[in-house]
Amino acid sequence: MQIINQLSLDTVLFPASLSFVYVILPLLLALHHIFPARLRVGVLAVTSLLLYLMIQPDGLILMVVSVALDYIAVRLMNRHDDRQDIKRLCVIFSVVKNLVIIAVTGFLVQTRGVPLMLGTLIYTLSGMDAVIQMYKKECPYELDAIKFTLYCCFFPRLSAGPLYSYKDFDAQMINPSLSSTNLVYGVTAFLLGAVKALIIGAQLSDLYLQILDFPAESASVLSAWMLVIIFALAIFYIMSGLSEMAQGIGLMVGFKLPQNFYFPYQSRSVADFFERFNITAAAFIRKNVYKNLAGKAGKAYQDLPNLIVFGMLMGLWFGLRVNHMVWGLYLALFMFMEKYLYNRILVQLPTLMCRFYTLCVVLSSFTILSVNSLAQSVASVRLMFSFFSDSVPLYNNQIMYIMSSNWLLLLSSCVLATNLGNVISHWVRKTLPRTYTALNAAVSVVLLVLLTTLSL
Amino acid sequence: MQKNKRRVILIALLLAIPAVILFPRGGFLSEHLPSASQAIASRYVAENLQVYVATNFPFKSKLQEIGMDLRIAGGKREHNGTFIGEDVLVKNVQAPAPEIEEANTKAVSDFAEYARSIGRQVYFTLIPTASAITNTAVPSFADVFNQRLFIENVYGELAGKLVAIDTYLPLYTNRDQYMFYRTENNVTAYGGYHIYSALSKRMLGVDNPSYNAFDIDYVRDDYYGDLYAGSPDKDIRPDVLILFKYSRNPREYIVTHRDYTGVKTYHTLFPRHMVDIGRDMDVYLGGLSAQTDIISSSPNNRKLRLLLFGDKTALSYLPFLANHYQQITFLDLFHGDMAFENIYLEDYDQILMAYSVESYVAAGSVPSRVSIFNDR
Repeated sequence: MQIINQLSLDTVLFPASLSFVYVILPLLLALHHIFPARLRVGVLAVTSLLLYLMIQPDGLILMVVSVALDYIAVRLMNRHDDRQDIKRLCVIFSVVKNLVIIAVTGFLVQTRGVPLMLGTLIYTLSGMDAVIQMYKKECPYELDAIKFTLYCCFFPRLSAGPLYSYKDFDAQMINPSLSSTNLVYGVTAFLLGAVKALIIGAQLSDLYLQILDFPAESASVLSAWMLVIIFALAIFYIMSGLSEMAQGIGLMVGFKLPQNFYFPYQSRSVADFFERFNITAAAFIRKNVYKNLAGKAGKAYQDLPNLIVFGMLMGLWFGLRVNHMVWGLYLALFMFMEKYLYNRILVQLPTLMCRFYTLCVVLSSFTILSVNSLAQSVASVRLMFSFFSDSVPLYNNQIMYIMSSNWLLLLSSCVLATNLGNVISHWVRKTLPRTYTALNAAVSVVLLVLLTTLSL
Repeated sequence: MQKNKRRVILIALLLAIPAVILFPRGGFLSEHLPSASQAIASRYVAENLQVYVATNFPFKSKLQEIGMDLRIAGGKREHNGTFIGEDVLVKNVQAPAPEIEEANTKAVSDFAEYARSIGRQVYFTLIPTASAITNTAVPSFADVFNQRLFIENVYGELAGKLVAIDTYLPLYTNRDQYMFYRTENNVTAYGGYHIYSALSKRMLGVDNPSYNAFDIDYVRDDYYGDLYAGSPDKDIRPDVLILFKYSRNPREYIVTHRDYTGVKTYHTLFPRHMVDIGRDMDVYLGGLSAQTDIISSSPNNRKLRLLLFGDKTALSYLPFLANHYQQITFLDLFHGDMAFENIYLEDYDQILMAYSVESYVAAGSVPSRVSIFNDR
């Protein structure tokens, strides 16, 4: 899986490892509670840098320099608040600098096989976003280097986000809300995310790689379908798991981070899919690119290129590859058609049919994202629909062995991708409000046992 | 005040967790934590910490067992290349790369031709592994290497150059019996008996030797082998170590082991004291060495000398064959890097090459070593 391969899973999933769960996280929380409230932001900033040093030492200098340059841009804007030209120059410098970092690291990953540095996309986009917000006066200039560093480098979200606006985070940094309830909910969210990323997502990505490695003579129609389905599930579980871990750690230390995934495979339309899949990245692109391109002009011919840019940028989130851009382009075309061609039909259709339509479009889009070249995508689609071909079997032992050996993983990953768990959780909260926190703690214990036994 | 007390308790609890994980065996910091410069130069700290925690986790083996049970419940029947059956562990032997098969077969062929040129007939057998015989342990749909076909192909390629002896069929026909260990990747004494039957019929003209000629001695009924040690699934019955002792005519044996560590001699085929020192499998012939010579003081009427090129499967059938030869020299070419300078093919009446399919398909095994005997 190129997307997964280029980010070493060991590095990305370090926060789900036993060493993090049983050693680093308790130490971090203890430290957080030992220090008085006014020093906690500083403690978190320092520990974030130390953890990055532990996980990705060769990328620390780039991160520190990048964040420092954005901070200097903010200071310059503050000093020359009355000089619009200097402020604009600072913003341009920050945007160009961050885009160059993203482009160069992405280029090195694709052409030289250099592993992608953890968090490059997050700290560059965060720094850029902060500078833009302060330039637009959406929030006051941040002159505290420690707070600015924490905003850009808060370690739990460096793996996969979520992205969030500086003004939202700034308000929380003033008074991080520590409470036992937040601690319990945070632990549950963190462990749920860890199980999703490490136990389900990483295993699904293993299965995906096994199927991808099938020699040509072992290919079958079922293996082609499973390749796409498992990819779709793996990418969802790894990314949403990492985001939920970040949310959980955030809650434990007093920050409420935004949700990044909300059952995307239950979307009613492709536009709805981007409201549920990598939500904060979509919001970031919508805010900083799509709206600036006058995306709400209302005329179809004006909106089409904007939607295409939006879709392609969503694809480029996964790395600089033609396939990724084509994936975004493909979904953007459906968004365009939904908006201007069959919006009324879609609104009138029953929810189940809408979901089925979206699932088909999204799954078919993953035939583009899940392989390494467009030629492979075409071959993959051809194989998926070779139902009546004499040369391709419908199924064979190889794919049946993978499915039968992992039936529980596959079944549970399909069920847990729906909002069934959420519905049950809400029902329990409504009917048993007093025991809800205790039940959360019990769920945490079960998740911890699962994580521990299946990681060892 | 109450709030402060709660805070202190929370901090103490949080600090207790890493303390339990990191300091159960004398501490992590002094041994494993590198200097700051090392930490900056590599991912030393994170990696070391992960390895340390995974290795020293409290109740690790019990937790691993639970994890394996969960995986088995979820459909998993294979762990690290070993199939996990209801009551048996079976190594999943993989098909070799075609070039390895070709090179090995050519080496055997060259060797057989050389032996024939000096008037010696080479007998050859490929012994299947449990994954080809113990079908019940192999999960549905598992893509298992077709050893039967492989063996037939190899025999076909070597036809006319040596005498191939089929040991697949006797093992397969008796697959309901205790042919392979449940927890060890090897043939049992029962399996060895069937291999011996096939070999002795072709090499010695002995037809269907009876069990009755042997006293059966149970050494251990709680033996756990190498597959068990590497498997997190511990719900497997232990193996039984059985000795078949020839009882018809009294015999004395001298078993001499030679390898790079020196020479060891046992005056029995089954040195039982090996069990007492924890080397259970070495109760058969004293274990494996580069060269093992078995001399029988009271052989049968025939004064035959056998040169055997084999692997660990020999521990199962060699004690049976020993009853028919005055001398057997067993060379384990996988054991160390000995030159075997005193071994000449002309000194032996018969030459047998008996490898398990797993040994035979191992990269660079037979061809790299067997050629040292050519043109000697």
